[in-house]
Amino acid sequence: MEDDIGLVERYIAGETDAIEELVMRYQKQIYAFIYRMTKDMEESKDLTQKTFLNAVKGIRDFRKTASFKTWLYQIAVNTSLNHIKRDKREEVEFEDSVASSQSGALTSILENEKREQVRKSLDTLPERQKLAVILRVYESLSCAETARAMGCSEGTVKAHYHSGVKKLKEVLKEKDYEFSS
Amino acid sequence: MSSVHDEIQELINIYLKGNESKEIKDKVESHLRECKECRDELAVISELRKVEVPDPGDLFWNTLPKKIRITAGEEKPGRFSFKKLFFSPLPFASVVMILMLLILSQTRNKNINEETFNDPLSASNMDYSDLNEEDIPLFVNNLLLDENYSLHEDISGNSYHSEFASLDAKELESFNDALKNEGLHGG
Repeated sequence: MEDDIGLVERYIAGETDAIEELVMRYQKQIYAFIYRMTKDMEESKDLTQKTFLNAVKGIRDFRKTASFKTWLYQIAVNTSLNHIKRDKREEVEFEDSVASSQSGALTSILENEKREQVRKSLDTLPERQKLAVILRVYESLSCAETARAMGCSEGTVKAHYHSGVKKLKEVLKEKDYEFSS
Repeated sequence: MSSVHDEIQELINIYLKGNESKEIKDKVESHLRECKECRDELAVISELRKVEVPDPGDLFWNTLPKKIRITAGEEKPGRFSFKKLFFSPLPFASVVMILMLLILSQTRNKNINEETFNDPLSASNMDYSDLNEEDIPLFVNNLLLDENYSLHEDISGNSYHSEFASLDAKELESFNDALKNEGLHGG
């Protein structure tokens, strides 16, 4: 399988098909990350598209010393944070509507409630802590990759990440959340 | 915090993914038995990982790559476009600035030219109303001298005044005669 940098070079040389391969490779990860930040499927779809378009526009600025994946996450972080800042109020309203509409089979209600509790706890974290937790836990980025994506030092990422996890634990305990053994 | 504890906290995510080496697995599990803080962290991360993301469906996944290629193709990387130049704020501001500077410099040049050529001592701006008829031939003769010679310079920048200064009385007289003939024949 051709590596990311090879595909980037091919795209810059004029082979437009190469960009399709890059999108296919990362679209699910970028969408999942954006969804965890925005909690809105339609917005996440739009922002995923926007992230890739921003990446294509700035593809000549991509320095091959960093990985394409980390660079792409950096764009996704900026795109989603800009969106969140702009639409903060609307987002909160949407969150309430999603929470109230989540009803399914009787057997899954309790499980859904638990997931919802965790998801809501994640939203109580300050933005940078939430970002560090999402990138480390869900996207499995290393500390160094997370630092590059967030545009800060590895030490800062560690501090945000551990404070975030600690705070999540406290919030869940306050809600009498039952941890799986 | 000990260095082992720090290391384990970094390894917990790899451990949870389940594709760690046996060495990492043993190391993490042995630390977890002793460290409550890491056990708690593992529990929180495990719960977080259970939160799923809704799938937007195959239609989205199948069309997005093509959509990106087509949209991006409309504006290929590095391709120059006048539209881009004039509708981006920075280039637009630069173009406006250059135009303003050009207009300002033109206006200033015009003012300078007006000042330079409105010299009250130049022949075209002189008042001839106080000349009587007897003075006119002498005036015309002087004017011819001025306009034909005194304002001109040779290629090395020397004025003809310096040449006149080196002429003796006889040479000046013959030169004056020659000028008169030139003036009469329109030479």
